Amino acid sequence: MIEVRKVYKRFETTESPVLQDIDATIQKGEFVALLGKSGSGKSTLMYIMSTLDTPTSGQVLFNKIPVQSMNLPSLHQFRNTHIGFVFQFHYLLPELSSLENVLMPTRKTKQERTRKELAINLLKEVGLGEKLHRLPRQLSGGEQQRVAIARALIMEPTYLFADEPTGNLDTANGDIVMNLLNRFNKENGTTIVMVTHDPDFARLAGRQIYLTDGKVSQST
Amino acid sequence: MLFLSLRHLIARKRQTLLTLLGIMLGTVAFVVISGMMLGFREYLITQLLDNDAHIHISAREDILETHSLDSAFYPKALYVHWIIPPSGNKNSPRIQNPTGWYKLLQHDPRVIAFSPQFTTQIIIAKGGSTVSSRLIGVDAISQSKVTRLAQYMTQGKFTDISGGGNRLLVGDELLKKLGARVGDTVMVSNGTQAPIPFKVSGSFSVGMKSIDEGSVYGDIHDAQTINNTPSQVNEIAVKVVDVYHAAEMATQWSKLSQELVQSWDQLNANFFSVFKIQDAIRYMMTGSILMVAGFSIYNILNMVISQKRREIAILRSMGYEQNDIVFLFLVQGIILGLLGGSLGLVIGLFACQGLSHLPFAAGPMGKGTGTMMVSFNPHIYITAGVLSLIASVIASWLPARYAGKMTPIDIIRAES
Ligand SMILES: Nc1ncnc2c1ncn2[C@@H]1O[C@H](COP(=O)(O)OP(=O)(O)O)[C@@H](O)[C@H]1O
Ligand SMILES: [Mg+2]
Repeated sequence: MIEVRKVYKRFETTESPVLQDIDATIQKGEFVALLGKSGSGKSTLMYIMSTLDTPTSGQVLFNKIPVQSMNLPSLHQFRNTHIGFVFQFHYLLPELSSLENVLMPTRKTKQERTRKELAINLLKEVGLGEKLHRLPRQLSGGEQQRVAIARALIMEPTYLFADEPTGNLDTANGDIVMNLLNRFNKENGTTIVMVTHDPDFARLAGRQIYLTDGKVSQST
Repeated sequence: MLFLSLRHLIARKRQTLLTLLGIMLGTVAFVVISGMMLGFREYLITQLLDNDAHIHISAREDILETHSLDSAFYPKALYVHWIIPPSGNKNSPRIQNPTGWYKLLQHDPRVIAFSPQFTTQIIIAKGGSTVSSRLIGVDAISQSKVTRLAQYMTQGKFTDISGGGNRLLVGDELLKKLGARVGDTVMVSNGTQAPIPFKVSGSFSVGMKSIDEGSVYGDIHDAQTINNTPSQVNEIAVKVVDVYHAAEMATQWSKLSQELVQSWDQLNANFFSVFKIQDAIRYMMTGSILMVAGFSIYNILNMVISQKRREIAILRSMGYEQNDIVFLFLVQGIILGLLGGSLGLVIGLFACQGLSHLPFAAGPMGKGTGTMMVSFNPHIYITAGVLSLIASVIASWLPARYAGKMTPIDIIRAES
């Protein structure tokens, strides 16, 4: 469970806050879409929720534990084992094959051998069973994003955060990615928070939170 | 992370090879230049140590000053104006209290042996040819304990002169100039007395022109007789246990007496100042080569890091820490430094071995060994290795630290 309490965010360079007193609770196993116009603060909220960024004031709690109370090593450990990220850009490491890219998070805790089987299975599930040893530049944009999803899931995280994962893809590939996220949410119970500005994709999520000018304007 | 560092290096093969080459060249240059410089230096030092005593205690020349005779001639005058001021030596230089020295030297545990000498300028004549040279009067037994001259005898034995009897050992070159052979009789005079016949009973060649061409050894009593100064000693040659403490001992002793006490390295101070300049050049050259190599590491890493910002962000979001990122890039520099450095050491070693077999004609020091003198002192290799590693660590540390400081959120915000 993720609890967002009175989160307020203002950048030093701007006058008005980007986020104002956001309150939200995301239950275990939910698939939540963050919606809103460009510049409404979706990404900022997601990065604060996902521990990468810190709020100016307010709190984020994972299972009642405030993120601020974690020290750096345990925060890194938490990110490694409990959180997966998918970004608008795939951010694959160009020197590594699909399989090696997927296994990259496991190297942090030296699990690259024990999780190899899972990695191959994940790549099969995203339809890349035949392309395990391809380098990123030998894959299409949609395929690259699917490798990135497999990478986000390799540690079997409790939470998956995705910032416009379909933003750089055509509709066909966007659909594939959305179906994958849906499946992992249903089958593995992964809690997903996804930023999107596409209402069609947002409808696939179980719940939508709309942001307007840094405030929650509507929540289903 | 090491895995990823290696992948990065392999992915940019050309840059990696070029950087390796740079570090390698720097290391090779240091090894070869140092090998040659130090090789010659070591040879020079052994020559100096072999052929000469470690410490010379010699009489000071007592040169007359304008007013040094005032009181003797005009004891009551306040000021004497000389139309022609007195000049010259007061008397032939001599060690004031030789027995005092002998006692001191005998009881000093740092001293291996010492040999009193009486050295004087002589003129040697054979038939029509005359040559001036330096007659070093020694006690052959003591002298052979102090220097290795006995090993350089080409004819006769060094001890042939002991006990006096007007016998000489003459340097090969000098013998040639004189047109004499071992066994011949030559006439020796100090220039003021009537010439005395001496027999050439041996010859030597130490490989230093100044000695082979200008020196004659004889018994100390014979030398004193020629000069008409019986029992005078004007030099004591000393051999010590630790040659690198000779200077310290010499300085200590010179405070005890009015004699001039100089160690082998003090006497050859000009060589040592040349060595210092050589060292400076050596380090500067290598430093500049390594600096270029270091700059190339620095530039490449900086470039790579700015290209790989997104990858740094994703690694950080996976839970990799600041130190992991620093390690990722630092290790690349260290690998380049270690690999380039060790390749350089090996190639440098082979190059030095090749050079040491190169025929090398007699240099300013005379005969030499016939081949180039190259030092294989392990210090050279250690210094070269350490220098190349330091250069590459510094060059990669700076960009790596910068990469570590980037936070994932800043990178992601800048990218989107
Ligand atoms: N580092 C920053 N400094 C100043 N303003 C920022 C920074 N990052 C984002 N913003 C501003 O915050 C607002 C919300 O940004 P963002 O969360 O990226 O919106 P969204 O993802 O909904 O498009 C925008 O107006 C943006 O210009
Ligand atoms: Mg955004």
